[in-house]
Amino acid sequence: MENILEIQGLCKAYDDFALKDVSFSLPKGFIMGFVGENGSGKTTTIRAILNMANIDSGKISVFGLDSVTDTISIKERLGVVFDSLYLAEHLNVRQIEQQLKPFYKDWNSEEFFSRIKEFDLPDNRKVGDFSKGMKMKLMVAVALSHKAELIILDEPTSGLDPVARDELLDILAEYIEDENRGVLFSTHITADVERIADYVTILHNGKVWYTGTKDELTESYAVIKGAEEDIPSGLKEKFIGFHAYRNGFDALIRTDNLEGIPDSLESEKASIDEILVYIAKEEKHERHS
Amino acid sequence: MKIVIKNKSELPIYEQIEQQMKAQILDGTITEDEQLPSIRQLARDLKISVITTTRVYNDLSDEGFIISVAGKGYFVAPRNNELLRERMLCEMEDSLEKAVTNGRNAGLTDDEIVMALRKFMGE
Amino acid sequence: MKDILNIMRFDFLTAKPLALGGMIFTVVLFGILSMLFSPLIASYITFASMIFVIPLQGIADKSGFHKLYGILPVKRRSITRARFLYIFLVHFLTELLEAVIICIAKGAELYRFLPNQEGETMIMVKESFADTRLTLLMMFGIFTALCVLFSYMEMMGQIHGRENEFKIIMITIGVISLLAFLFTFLSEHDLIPVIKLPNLPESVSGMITLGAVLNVIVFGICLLFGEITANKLAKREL
Repeated sequence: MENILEIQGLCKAYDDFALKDVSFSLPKGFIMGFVGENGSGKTTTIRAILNMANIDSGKISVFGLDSVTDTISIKERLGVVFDSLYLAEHLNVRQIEQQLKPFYKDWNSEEFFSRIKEFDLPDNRKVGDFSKGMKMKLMVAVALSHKAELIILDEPTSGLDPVARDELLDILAEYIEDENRGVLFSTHITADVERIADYVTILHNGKVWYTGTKDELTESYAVIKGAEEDIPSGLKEKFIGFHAYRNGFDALIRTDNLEGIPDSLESEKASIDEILVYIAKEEKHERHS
Repeated sequence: MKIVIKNKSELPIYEQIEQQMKAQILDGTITEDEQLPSIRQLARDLKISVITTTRVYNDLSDEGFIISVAGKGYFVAPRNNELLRERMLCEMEDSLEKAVTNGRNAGLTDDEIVMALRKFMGE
Repeated sequence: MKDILNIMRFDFLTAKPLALGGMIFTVVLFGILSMLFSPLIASYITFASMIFVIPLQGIADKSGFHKLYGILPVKRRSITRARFLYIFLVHFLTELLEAVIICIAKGAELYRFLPNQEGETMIMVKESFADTRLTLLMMFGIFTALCVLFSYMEMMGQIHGRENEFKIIMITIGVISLLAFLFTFLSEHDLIPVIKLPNLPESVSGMITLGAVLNVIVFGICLLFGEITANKLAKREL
């Protein structure tokens, strides 16, 4: 399967934060949820893909092209949605369209205005006065109007109401119907990607904690609960983010470690959100011990 | 074809879809030889992962409910009643076995389990 | 090259809604004044061209253009270079507009319709209509000074950050005043030759040639500042 995005051994160090050996790939035709708590390195990775951050080592290819040397031809085919608007706030949609049009060979004004209409965006109001959801949709409209084959979204849903978030999922579901496209969707609201994502990459502390299909992730982990005295010997070492309280405990565990556990312990499938929470708890333990 | 996905269900999404499609194929809601939406269309309509719908179609083909016609897409398989009946019987036996085990674990007597079954059947 | 033109167009469209009204007002006001009282007044329009330049950086910061620059299929260098060419072009076009106004003013000689033709002010007005060399000197002088100043400030602002802009302006003004003072002091005491108007070309055509040379030099300075800035920014992250 051809990869639309491929990152190998990406390292990038700042004074107070570093990406360490980040590698993952997204096959053409699929949506990848890029999750992790704030500060885990999602935005830095995206900035590296866009050649906005200079990478220390590693290689990123988009459409099979190198992210540093071929950045211009990559961007011609790339759509990006950030958490905040990157367009002139005092202009209206028509003026913005005028500005952006000449930059893209494949810009389609008709497509742009039909999207604006579809998304219910007024074309005579300053875009700076738009609501957060409207700004997000405007950026999506821009991405869709120059035939982008890959859309990268960096926390597009933070601060959005559920209706706008659902609308975005509709748009992405429609977009990915074309199997030659791809979506990298960074978010810390995992409910957004829980249903629609084909692949998931979990970033934690600048490192990849998991990358692969979402089904495999959610099938590989379970939340286990019960009374501490019922934990068979040797099992506790396999817990991730063990949390004991007065009446019992809970922890994350790989499902292949679940065999033969006593009936007194309850286990249920873990959501991506729960997985993230237990990863964070596990790290807290490590720091304290 | 009508499919309802419950996010809060314990069943994985692919199983929910498979069950509902099977039921609709069996009761004739989806007719024989009817063309099904493509894998990507279905994913779009339900706003779910393409990998999930791929899995649904693969499972349903394996079980003989639908067939894939190269270049055309997926269709409901011509009704092979004997095969389907056998499969449904199999599933019934599995479910009954599970029901009996659960009942016994709960401390019911065999009579009580049969009573419970009768109640379900509306007697 | 196409990239640079596109970015210049982008900058122009960004500034236009904010600046166009003010520019038209200035052109009309100073145009009328120059036609009535002195063609020289037209040169002041150059001061208004700054409203096409100054708001740009504030808008860019507020609107998160650094992200847009990361998305657009355009080289980082082209974006920087385009800004400096844009500054030159704005000033150059204003200068051309002034030249047109000056020509009209001199051709129309509207001062003839002013009251009190024999008054003392009228003598000054007539003198200024007659002195084309001084008019041109003002026009070229203001153009040169402002265009160089703005591209210099753009360079400093982009390299050292806008927060330091006020400081940079103060230092620049300080240095210029110091030089001017030094220059005046030295020439007062006959330590250096004084540049007087008679030292400048005698003929109008000579004056125009001098202006053309100045324009080319200013263009070169803008390119140079653009190149220095582009080099400084090339390695910086967006």
